[in-house]
Amino acid sequence: MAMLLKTQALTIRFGGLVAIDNLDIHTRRGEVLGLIGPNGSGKTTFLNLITGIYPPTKGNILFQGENIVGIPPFQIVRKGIARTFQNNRLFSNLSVLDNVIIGMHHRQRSQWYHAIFNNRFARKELRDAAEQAMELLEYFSRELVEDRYKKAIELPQAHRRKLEICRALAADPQLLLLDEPAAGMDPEETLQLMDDIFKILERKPDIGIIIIEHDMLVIQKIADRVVVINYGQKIAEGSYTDICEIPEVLEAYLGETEC
Amino acid sequence: MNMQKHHQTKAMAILFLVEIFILVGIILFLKTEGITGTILFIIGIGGCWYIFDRFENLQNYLTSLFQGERRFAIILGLILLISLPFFLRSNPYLIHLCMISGIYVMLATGLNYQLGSTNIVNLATAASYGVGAYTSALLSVHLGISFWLVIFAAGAVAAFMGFLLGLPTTKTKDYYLTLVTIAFGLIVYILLNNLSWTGGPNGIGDIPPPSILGFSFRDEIVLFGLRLPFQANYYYMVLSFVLIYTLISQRFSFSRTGLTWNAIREDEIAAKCSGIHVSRYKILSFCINCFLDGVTGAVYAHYVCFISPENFQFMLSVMVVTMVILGGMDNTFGVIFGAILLTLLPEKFRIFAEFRLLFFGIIIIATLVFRPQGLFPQKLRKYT
Repeated sequence: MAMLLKTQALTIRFGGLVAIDNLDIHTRRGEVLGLIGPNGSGKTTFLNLITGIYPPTKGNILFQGENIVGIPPFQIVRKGIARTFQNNRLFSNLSVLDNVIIGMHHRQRSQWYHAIFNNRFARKELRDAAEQAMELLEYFSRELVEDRYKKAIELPQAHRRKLEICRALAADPQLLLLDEPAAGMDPEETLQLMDDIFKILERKPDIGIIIIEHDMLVIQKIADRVVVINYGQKIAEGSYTDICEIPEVLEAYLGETEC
Repeated sequence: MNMQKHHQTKAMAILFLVEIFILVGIILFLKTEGITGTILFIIGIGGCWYIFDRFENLQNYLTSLFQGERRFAIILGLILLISLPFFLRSNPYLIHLCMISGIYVMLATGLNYQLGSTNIVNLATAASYGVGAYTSALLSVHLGISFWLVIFAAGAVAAFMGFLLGLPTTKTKDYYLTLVTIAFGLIVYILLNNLSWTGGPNGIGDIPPPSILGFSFRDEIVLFGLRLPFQANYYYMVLSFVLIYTLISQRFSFSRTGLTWNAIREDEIAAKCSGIHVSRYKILSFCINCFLDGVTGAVYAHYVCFISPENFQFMLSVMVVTMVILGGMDNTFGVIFGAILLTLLPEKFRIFAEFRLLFFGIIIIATLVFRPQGLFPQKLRKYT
């Protein structure tokens, strides 16, 4: 299948610290790539580089063949990369529905002067957005539909995660980046989450997903391929069963997981 | 069918009573003199607010009544607002107070786009207001251009200034941005005081009053056989501006732009990662706020007919910020309430005029500690 994202010798230095060191990672359409590594190994930094929050010190990020280094975050979303955050970053005091509608921001066209004149097109656009948002919420969870006029901050943790995924999907991305979606969830909620990820793939079979996760069960179940990084370097790559037998991985993870 | 008719009549009756109650309250409050009366009034307003805030059912009931009989409620409200000067015609000072309240409502609804919607603490309201006032005064005094054209020029110049002020937002945020706005406000104040063509500390006098078809706003107006003091002209003009500002504010808050501003307020990083061009929307909020301030400044300049830098000091910016914080972030009616209340209270407590700044300081601290969302919090958007 077609190559979606490819990084070449991606490197970022924070002062003397090399957080990401010559990293070559690629992912294809329809593939779930698991990104694992001990704490502080540079996983979240990698996502921040792809989404343009940090500019890399050197290296290239090719997305659908185009180098996206130096493009600001809001334009990267337009190119088709959406993400969730390690600690939810929802719009806390806005309703569930509004959160999803904001996810569609880059697909909307109405301008500020349309608001002043109460333009019909702008009103219709907002109404349509609300409809699409409802449809998206409905696909993932009935509870979120019922809570659509609740503030995001009033939701239980598991629902907030789900809402964040919905907001990212509302941008209609080609590549979805999930940063520790199962953190802080109980086993049942984790199962539910995996179910949701399969639902994403069902809905958009050609989407690429990169998932950072500490819960090995999740990685084992949903990742087609796993990349292990430590100190910003790739130390292993392959299927879950393959990487479990590599001594460096076991060493890096010693005490954290029993592969 | 009959039941429906009955419900409708009941709704109208209740709305009628509520609006009359508010109008009578305003008139009595304006006419109160002395400290005891004013304090009693504050307790009364506080009580009404408490009941309204405490009982969510009452809130929902009133909102549904209003939405059901929207046209009736708005027309009745308009009639009452138009009739206000007739009750106060024996005392022009009270009409002047209403007019000044209107000016502050205009400034506060303008600032709400920044402070309430986007969480940009802009302490340069006095600057944009002053730039608008001076632009309009200079154009009409030296070039003799009509007031009705000059207000747009004032808005445009202020908006351009807002654009310049907004440029640093691409680099700075939060407190640093606030510091930039404070510095900007001071620069404008110093410039107005020291430039020769702004008249320096003497300001600009003899600004011609607006006129429509030869009728000058400085003349007394006769309506329905009753003679009203000239302040009433300005009251009606400011009332129409307030209505336009309110309408625009309502429309913005229920639009893609308003939603985007809210997203930036809630979480800038998440907003960026949702495809929002944060700097662009911040600069936009600066431009819109400053445009509205500029227009307000022009209206004010043509009311007092004499302006000097003293009218556009830092204190004014602090007052407008307090109004928005107390009234309610991004709730248009809350902001209007805050602006009216905080214009009238200092007037009623004139003998404590030196403590004005202290008073506003206490209100800001108390609101932020006990009720950070303001007296009337933002309502969630409902989509049908």
